[in-house]
Amino acid sequence: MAAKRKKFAKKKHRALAYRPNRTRSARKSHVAPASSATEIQEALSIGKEDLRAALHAIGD
Amino acid sequence: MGSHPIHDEQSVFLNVPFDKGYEHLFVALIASIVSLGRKPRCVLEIAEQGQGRLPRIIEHLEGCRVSIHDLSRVGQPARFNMPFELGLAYALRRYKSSPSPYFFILLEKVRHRLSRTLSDVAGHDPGIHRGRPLGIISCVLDALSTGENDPTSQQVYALWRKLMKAARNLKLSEGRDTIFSRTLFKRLVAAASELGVRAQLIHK
Repeated sequence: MAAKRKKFAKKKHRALAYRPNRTRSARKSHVAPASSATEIQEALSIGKEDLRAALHAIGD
Repeated sequence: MGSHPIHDEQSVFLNVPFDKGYEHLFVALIASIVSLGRKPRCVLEIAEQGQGRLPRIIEHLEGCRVSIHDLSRVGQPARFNMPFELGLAYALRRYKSSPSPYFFILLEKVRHRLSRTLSDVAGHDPGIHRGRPLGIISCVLDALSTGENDPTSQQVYALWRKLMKAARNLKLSEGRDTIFSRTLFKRLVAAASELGVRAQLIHK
């Protein structure tokens, strides 16, 4: 009986914890996952020319 | 008013003074937001197409989940833009149904001043940055941090220092004396995201 209860608790824990496409910290705090650099640049429609200028400015 | 904006959970609208004295703090805001894997948005990035600034501001506010309002410019001449846009953000929060709750972050330079300059927002405690980049970074991390993987203030401060150098280079290369332009804002965010990847604060 105890083993059955333990198995059920484990299943429940997994179901609550798992959210596809979410990072561990985001799952923990129930917020959307952090964006990557590419996502940030796409959101602002940063083009190749802007990126090249930015890389030049940071000394690349 | 144009097309309806796409609601983005990670977008953060910046309602701050666009003046020379605020540049280093603006760079600190960008560094903090990008380090958290969020997207800084502001009215600068939308090209003026004859519809005026206000519709563009509303459109942007609607597309963001969070907005940051710095109400520290209280000297002469009086600047009403920031409190006005805060009012817009508050109305959106109050009357617009959205898939996730909208919230705003208030910033001030001096402690307890907001209760005199804008007593209507009593109950909303502003983050006090004391006009310092580290203060801004600390306020933003405090408000938007989500978990153990978030950067520390010192990590973001190190990124800010590099981004300030990049801002100077960008101004020089464009022959501008301010970073408050559409092109430079985008390039600054691009630089911040690349620096964030190098510092292993965000993914490529």
